[in-house]
Amino acid sequence: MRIKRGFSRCGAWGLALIVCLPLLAQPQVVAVKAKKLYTATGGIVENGVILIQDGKILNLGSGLEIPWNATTIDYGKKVVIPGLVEAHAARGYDAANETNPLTPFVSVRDSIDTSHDDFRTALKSGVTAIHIMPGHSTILGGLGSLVKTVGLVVEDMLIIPDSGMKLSVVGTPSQTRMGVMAQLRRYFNETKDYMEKPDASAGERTVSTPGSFRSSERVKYEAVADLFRGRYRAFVYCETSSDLHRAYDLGKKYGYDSVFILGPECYKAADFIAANKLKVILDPGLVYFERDPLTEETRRIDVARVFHEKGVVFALQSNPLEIHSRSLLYQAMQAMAGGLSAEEALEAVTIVPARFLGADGLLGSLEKGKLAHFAVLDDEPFKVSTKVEFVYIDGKPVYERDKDEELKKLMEGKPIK
Amino acid sequence: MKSVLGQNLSPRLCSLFLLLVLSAGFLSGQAPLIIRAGTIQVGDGRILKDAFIVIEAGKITFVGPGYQVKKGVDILDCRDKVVVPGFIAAAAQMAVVGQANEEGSEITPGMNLMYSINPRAADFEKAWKSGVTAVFLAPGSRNVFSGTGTILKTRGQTPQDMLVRDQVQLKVTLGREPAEGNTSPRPFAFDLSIRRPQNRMGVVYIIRNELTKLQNKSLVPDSELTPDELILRGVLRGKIPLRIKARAYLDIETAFRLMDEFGFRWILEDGVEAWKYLDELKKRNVPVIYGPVYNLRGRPDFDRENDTYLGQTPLLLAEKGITFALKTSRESSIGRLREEAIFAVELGLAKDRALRALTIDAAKILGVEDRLGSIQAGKDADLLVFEGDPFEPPSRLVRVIMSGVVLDPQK
Repeated sequence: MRIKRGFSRCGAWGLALIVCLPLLAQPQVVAVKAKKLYTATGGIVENGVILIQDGKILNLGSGLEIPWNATTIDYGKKVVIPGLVEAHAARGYDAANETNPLTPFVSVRDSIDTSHDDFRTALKSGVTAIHIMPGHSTILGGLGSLVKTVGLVVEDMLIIPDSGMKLSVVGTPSQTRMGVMAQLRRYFNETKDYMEKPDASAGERTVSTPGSFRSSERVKYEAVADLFRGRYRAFVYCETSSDLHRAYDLGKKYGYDSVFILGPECYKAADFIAANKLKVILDPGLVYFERDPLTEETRRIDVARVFHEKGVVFALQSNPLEIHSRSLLYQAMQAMAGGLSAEEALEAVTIVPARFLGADGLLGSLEKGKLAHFAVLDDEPFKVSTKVEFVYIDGKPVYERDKDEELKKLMEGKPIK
Repeated sequence: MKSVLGQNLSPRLCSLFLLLVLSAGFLSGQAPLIIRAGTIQVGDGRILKDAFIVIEAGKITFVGPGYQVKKGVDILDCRDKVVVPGFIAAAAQMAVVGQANEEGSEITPGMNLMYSINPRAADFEKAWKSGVTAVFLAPGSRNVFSGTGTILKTRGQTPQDMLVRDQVQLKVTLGREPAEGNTSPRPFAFDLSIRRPQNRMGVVYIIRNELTKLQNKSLVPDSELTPDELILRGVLRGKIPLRIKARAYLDIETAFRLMDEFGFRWILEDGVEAWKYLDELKKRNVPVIYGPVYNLRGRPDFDRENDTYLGQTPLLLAEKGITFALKTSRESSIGRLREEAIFAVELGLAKDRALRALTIDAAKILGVEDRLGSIQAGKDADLLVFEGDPFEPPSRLVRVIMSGVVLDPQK
């Protein structure tokens, strides 16, 4: 990496200061040069330059003219991809699920542990934004937030606070699916009743204002009311294809928009998903073995291939605890085995999840005006030997592989004996 | 040619096979299966370009370029594909009906897992559909001497049908696992449920005790020994190697010490801290079945024995020239063997070395390199056909050939 300053150090510092004062008031421009930019929405830019100002992408293109006062970082033959976006993750805190099944009013903002190693693991693999959500075991789990993978306090990390409501239509050991649906309908009906009261939509959520109803009622229903008002989408966990149908009908009836987090068995609803153009996040296990209870035959299902062949546009998620879904880049590579092109695979871990989150104006691709979130790779993406060398968030370098002592100790240490 | 790759091949081959069985040697000149491959990774490091593999009666009879194909003989066209030997899982626990541990005693060297194997278990189908064509199964790790292991193909009707070799290695577990949860004898306690080793020393004591007892019986003829003792005699005479499961450094050191005392051959399984003893392992010619490679914090079996994980271990084993194979983490994860190897490659292991770890080196460790592990004339026709490099995740496994039968693993 070569850093050269266009702003030369001239001798007469005082004079320079006076002349440059108006210029210094403007934010510094950084120009990042690389052999290839995978933009995710605008194809591949060869010999690309990204101009960054104020944490945002000022401009990008092939052989772009670099302003005279910009700091240039030349990555030579390296490749830049947009920061990866984890569409759904129940991690980054110490407990995922409330014991109480109906807690739409809780928010992961109150439980995110900024120093959790989940964030460091994500950063190492090029992930710059994670959609942290409550787990699958609660019916109305609460609100998730889209966060950056670095930050000292939660406020620093937030990209979109309260970015979605977690729902699950799957039964629990103590509750059948019909019980879950009945509880959801009851809660939704109560929320509709609440919304019809005269000043329900007037005030700020969770702020108690004197009115015709008690503030506790406001706390109880505002989060779901905001879902009905379209302030965010529901992220609904469906384990089986029949769960998916139920979740879809429920969303239609109550008029909210959903993103479906699919269990592996939901591949059976691929036609339905394609016909209704549903927004879906695939299960981290992209290869699913299904045992037929009658014939005792075990079928292998390449989930990404099934959806891809039906023309479904999906987002991928990872689960670092399992080798077969350890990172988003690895998931994208597996999806390529399912027939996706490299571009489509990249979209499934960048712009598609960003769209699902309503954050495609902010991130998910390398585009003018978006946040400067990107990763620098030493080679083409989607090769097993490719390494994430640098990660930028808001235009600042936040990860450098060469200086990653943790990785060295874990992976590349030398034997002591 | 394209149609040959399609669905219609398999039934035709099956009927040919049936014909072969029915004719039972009367018909000579059985039509062979001929594969024309763009790339053949033999398994021992050699790579052949645009070559043929000829398979007759489940065995490879010819490998190389320049095969004269007779007219009218179908060819399995793999000219744009990569053919590698079937993967061998050198350590696995799966497909067992009921318990894999016989906890009635902690010393059961004569135990044979063959009687507990369910050939219709989903794990076998998962295995071959993920490229694992042979697997080593042994009783669980709750006993000090758990029993001997069995090498099976992953497809067949009965365990006998699938059997490659049995009573191959005697499994010994060091460390916490055989001792965990055992109760100590107390006065007035009902003594039937008491199991012996209660700690690490107890485990070593039992091993030493049993082997010494056998040493002292060296003049007793075979006919007067129990099945347990016969296996242990095989160990002492170097016929049956020990498969010692050890994770932490102190257990690996214990194994070295026991080796010095009794002079047995052994194989290190798990070997989380094998990286601390590279020179010693090399000097003593001890092979390693290392795994899981992906063993990060939060994994279910992480840090069970206070051991220190080092991601580069496969690379270091390779650099040292130690024969090693790879294993997956848990019971039903047999299908992740290729992924473990891919992860090792991600951490710097050369791809040809990763292939060896899953094929010929695994076969050598199991002592079946005469039948499995590479694409050579005379060996079993267990082959995998990949769309591209087998250690790049985007390349799909498109065909599995087991004993000459062509199968579609994507179904």
